[in-house]
Amino acid sequence: MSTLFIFIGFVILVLMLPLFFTSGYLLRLMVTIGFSIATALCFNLVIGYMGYPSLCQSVFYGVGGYTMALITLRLGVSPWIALILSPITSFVVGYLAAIPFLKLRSMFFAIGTLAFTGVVNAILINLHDITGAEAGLRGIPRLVKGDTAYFYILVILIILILFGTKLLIDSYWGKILVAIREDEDLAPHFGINTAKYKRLTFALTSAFTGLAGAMFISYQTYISSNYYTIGSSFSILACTVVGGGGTLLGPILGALVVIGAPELLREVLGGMYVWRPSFVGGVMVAVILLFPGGIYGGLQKLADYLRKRGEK
Amino acid sequence: MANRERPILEIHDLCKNFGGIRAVDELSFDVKQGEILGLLGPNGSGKTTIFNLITGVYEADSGGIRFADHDITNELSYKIALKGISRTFQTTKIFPKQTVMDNIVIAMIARARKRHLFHEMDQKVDGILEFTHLRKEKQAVAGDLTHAEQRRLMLAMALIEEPDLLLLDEITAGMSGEECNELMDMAKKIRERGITIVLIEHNMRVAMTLSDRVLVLNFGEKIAEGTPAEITTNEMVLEAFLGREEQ
Repeated sequence: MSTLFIFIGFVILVLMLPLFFTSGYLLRLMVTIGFSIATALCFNLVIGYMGYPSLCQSVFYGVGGYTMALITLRLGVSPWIALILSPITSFVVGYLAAIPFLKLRSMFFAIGTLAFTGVVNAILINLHDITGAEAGLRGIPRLVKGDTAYFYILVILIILILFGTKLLIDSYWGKILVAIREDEDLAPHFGINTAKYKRLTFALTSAFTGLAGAMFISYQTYISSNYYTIGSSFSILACTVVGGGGTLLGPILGALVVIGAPELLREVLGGMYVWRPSFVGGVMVAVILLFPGGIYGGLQKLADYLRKRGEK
Repeated sequence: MANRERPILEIHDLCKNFGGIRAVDELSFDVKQGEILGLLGPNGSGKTTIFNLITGVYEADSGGIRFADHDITNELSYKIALKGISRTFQTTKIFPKQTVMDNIVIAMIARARKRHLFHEMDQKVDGILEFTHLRKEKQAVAGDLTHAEQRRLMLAMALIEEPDLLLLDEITAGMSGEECNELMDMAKKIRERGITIVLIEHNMRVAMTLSDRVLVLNFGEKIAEGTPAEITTNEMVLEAFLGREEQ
């Protein structure tokens, strides 16, 4: 119960944040970080709970984004209808991709999905008549006017993803994901159809990632193949690993550190900002070495230590 | 009451090769409902390979496996489990980072939903933990249990959904005499519930005491079949286990 009150208090605090922002830059930064949090939370199911180190998150972010862009620009459909269609297209692509890729495991899965991102990015560049390639497509309609409205929509989306994840991991489906992560070869001996649950989890994750991707593109009013690269997928994986995969709050902490910290320090860093990838890499190495369970795992250990000291 | 003359498992002309090695060689046998069949043989004789073929871990090269009048040859493991075959493993296989309770829940979840027994979960978990003497360890992390407790947990996971056929692969491995006796008592009680058992055992005392019938393998072939008393005096069996005396 106390956890719920802390959570509600935290949400109220987050909702009040725009009142304190003195510049549009800070609000836009929070929205950008929010999109990374939403994507990292979605793929936490695959990476953290199911134990599959995916590197194709940006593909489904892109499927959602291009669904939004092409349907609104080419067909003149309302962005709200495009927002409904985006998770559907992402679900379908996710399910189809899951069939071959989820036959691979561990580093083979990582390399397979990495290659998939590379192939999709090359397709986006080569189909420039449709996708606009690197130059991109402009004039995508916004869902709502104003950055503050996007901020609130994004908070709602993140809360929905958090509650959805919590419900799923507490259900029989969550237990099956744990079984797959811990011993995928043992699970079928208890009647568990691991292939079915892996595909559905991957497709569901892709659908929510696509939804976040569609919202992002309507927020930016612009789409480019440059958004959907191996580097973008890697950033999302980094958020999960640094924050703590397989925990509800880990990806949020990870996104704040991996995406948020370099952006917040942009002014301070000045010309040093070009070292951002090195910063992300350095943080990943440090966290993996010092806290194998991510920042969240490290904080939990610290809390346990302090509690035990308090008991003495 | 189980019809003990009716075979629940029928294996005919089963073959499995690994490269140039024939692990199972045109093997045929059946297991009658309600009996305990012991599978014996020296190391590498193909006993565990047979379990792996029955449970879909390996695909058979030829031959067939029928379970309760269904052809389950080369069927997927989860489908075989849903049909009512459970197994334990030579090396302990559990979910070590999960609690004992969660291990049992994972083991029953797919099969319980299939049989619409989800609401009875708590009662069933307590019952199986009582039976396997793990009630006190219900909330313990499985990886922290002793070796014997982990073996009993593995048995509990195999038993939770009351399979029709239970395959026990060296369930007493690494256990003390007292722990073996405890497991033998459990096996007898399992059979009293009408569950058919096939067991692989290196502990001869356990195998001979529990089995109604024994089948002996060597180099993937059946070399003898009969009651424990018949097997202990069989020349070929003695030769396979002890070797031929040089003239």
